[in-house]
Amino acid sequence: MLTAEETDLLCRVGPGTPMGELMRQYWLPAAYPWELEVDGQPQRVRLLGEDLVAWRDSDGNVAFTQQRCPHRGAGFFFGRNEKGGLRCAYHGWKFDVNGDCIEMPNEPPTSNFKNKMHITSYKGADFGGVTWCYMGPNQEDPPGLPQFEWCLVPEEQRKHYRRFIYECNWMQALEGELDSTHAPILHGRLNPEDSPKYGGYTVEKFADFFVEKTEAGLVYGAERKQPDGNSYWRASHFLYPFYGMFPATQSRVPLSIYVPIDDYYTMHFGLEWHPTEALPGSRFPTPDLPDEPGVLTPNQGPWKPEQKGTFYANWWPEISPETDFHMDLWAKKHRNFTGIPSVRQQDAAIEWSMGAIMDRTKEHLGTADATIIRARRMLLASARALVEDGTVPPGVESPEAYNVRSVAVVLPGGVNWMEALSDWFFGRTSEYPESAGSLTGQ
Amino acid sequence: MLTHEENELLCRVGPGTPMGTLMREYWFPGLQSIELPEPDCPPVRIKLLGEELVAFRDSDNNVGLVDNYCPHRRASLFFGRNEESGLRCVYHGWKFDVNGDCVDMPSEPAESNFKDKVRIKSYRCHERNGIIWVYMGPREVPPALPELEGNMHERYNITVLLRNCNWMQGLEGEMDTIHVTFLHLGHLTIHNTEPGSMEYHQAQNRYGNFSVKVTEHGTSYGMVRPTESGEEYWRVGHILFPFYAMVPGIGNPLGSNASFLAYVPMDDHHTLEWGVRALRPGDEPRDQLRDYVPNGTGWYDRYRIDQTWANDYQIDREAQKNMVSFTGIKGIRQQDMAMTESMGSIYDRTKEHLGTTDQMIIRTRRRYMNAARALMEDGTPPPGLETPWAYHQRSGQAVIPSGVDWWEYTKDVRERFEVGELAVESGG
Repeated sequence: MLTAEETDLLCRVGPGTPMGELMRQYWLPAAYPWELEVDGQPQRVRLLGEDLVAWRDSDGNVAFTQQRCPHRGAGFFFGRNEKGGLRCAYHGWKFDVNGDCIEMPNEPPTSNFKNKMHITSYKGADFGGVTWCYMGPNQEDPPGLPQFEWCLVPEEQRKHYRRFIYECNWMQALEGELDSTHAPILHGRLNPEDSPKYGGYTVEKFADFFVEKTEAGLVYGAERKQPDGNSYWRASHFLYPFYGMFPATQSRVPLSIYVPIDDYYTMHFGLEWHPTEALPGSRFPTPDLPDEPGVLTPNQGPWKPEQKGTFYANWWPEISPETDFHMDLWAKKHRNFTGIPSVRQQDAAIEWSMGAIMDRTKEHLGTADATIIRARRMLLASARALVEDGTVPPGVESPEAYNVRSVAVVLPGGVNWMEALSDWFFGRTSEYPESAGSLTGQ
Repeated sequence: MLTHEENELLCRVGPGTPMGTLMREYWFPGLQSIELPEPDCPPVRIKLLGEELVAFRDSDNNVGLVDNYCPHRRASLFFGRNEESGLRCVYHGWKFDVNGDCVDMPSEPAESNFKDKVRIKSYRCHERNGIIWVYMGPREVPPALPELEGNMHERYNITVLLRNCNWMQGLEGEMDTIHVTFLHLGHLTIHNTEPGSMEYHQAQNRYGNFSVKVTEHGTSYGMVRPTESGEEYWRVGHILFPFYAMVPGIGNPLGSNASFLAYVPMDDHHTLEWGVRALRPGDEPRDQLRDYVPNGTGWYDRYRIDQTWANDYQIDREAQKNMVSFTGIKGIRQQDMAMTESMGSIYDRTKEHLGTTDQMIIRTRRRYMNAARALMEDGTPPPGLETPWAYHQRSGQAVIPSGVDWWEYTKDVRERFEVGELAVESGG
């Protein structure tokens, strides 16, 4: 449980809020590079409660600049992205990616008004198939981009396979990622005998939790003791400020990103990679849904048609609060726990249903919520420390600490999980940890 | 730049606000005559200066504009029965005439005189050439109607357009004539315009010098650019209190049109933009390049078009890229809508950066704020209120000799006022 003040401190990310200041220390995933064509249409972006337009100039540089022209407030979305800059359609003022006004054709040629005019402009960078934005105070000398393994492997070894907008605060979406015990329940199938395509199944729903601090966040293990004396470990990371992972398999390592759009909307990116091998299939988010009711997909389902007039117009999912997340009552009775056809939208439905910002004065946390409790405590302490004495939050100055992986593996009972798994966790080997036996259920 | 308090003073028009009080001193266009097509026709929801009203036409062809809410138990009179010289609330049958008097109260005992004590808020209306003018002010004897010539001839063209933003940012677009050369004509160059034409002068010189006049009707501007032949190309326009504009347009010679625009506030966030023009013999209404959605009955369901914020005004990025037009947005007014609505419904003027070409905006805002303050402080009548002839103005474009006083030089065509039928020729 948190107090109302702590909840606000944890969740609110607008300019001037402590958590917003913390977020602004990091590079933030904002788009895919292919969305921003050279001299192409500017895109409406909202990050941490700030409305911006994202565009790419003639030289390929990415810009994130303020939404409205400083002259008379006209929207830059309607502007012309022309040679070397974005020109407001109203009076022709033109700005480069640094935010400098480079042309002011409605003022006298003798005027130096132009040289005084500057718009808010945040650094942009393409890395790992993502366009990142840095909104922090060190625009002249931003920190290094996080050295995720997926950013460094060849393109064919990673897949950006999911992206959509959650209609809730970022933190409750991230908390879902840190909450291992919901997986076999929320995402579970009803009948053990049925195919796993309807959802997972484990006999043992309970787990013991072990949490340890790392350089850029924390690592946690959920141990489920098996009848044969072995232990099934699902272990993963939380990375500052909003990254979570569910457990990897031998065939891919996943990452989930929850970028706060503002206090009430969150942009989710889902991706996966392999340390050494090319991944099959599409490299872009795919909207396909299964034809058979009750079959689950890892995709997010189709998107709504372009939501013009709104930020991130192309990334609003059709499986959403307005459609009760496509809950199918027959499938809910016969196949799986929710009847919602996408694993990720099952999460989104639950997290949305908590209210736009979950009221944490009313919750009741148990032992299975240990990771959530720790992550919140760390984030709150880091935000306070940043505001009080400028302490740089974890990971900002150690981009290589983002080279981590998750795991799901059976280990012999009594083995120290961190010792057994840390080479894999921290990218020192590409060999997936060996399993000591098979898992009861599937 | 304005302070937050100044911005509020300038923009807010609800009951009791200084600017709302100023506007209520004047007659202004409330609705078109055709919205009430015949006696005893269905009533219409009308929102003006933040007040929710219902307009109706009684059996004798008089127009009434009354409170939306029945004074009895606040049921909406929109659902009322317009019958036998009055609008009857369908809840308990109370009936009101166009003056706001209760003329029937069948739910009360016959001997009751309650009816004689109950009135509904009602505003005076006056029809003139297709416009129903309304007076929402305090005077027992209202002032005269403004002598806006565009509405003083029997052949006319009226268009109305819903703008989803505050009235002032719409009106500011009319003070800001230099945007025309970018937003509307940015695709023109000296190579694709006729040498010596108005468009050519604008393509040749994007920058312009402003000369601003404070006048009896409000403010006026001339914006000048040198021509290749050593003369001066002037664009002349006016802002007339409380929210009228006369603008040079795209290709209109000075004095050619008896016309005006009006930015009538429905409330702080919605405005009806009126375009009113007297037609000369043989003149036909111009194609406005807009597709209207049929009027509905809701407060904001009148005079909508198919290009909106919700579809990015149907911007065509290919046309923008290839310079078919500067914006890729169809229609001059729609381009203006995209700009003014993109500022947010009340534009935050604490964040702007005004330059030399914004001086008409700066001066006009000041005149509005001073007039509103003076009215509140000591009842000083605002500009034009008691001088209806101050509205005898025309706008347009002219090439005149270099160095002359543009205001004096253009006086005859600028202040031209044609009584009776308009001449066939088009002035200039």
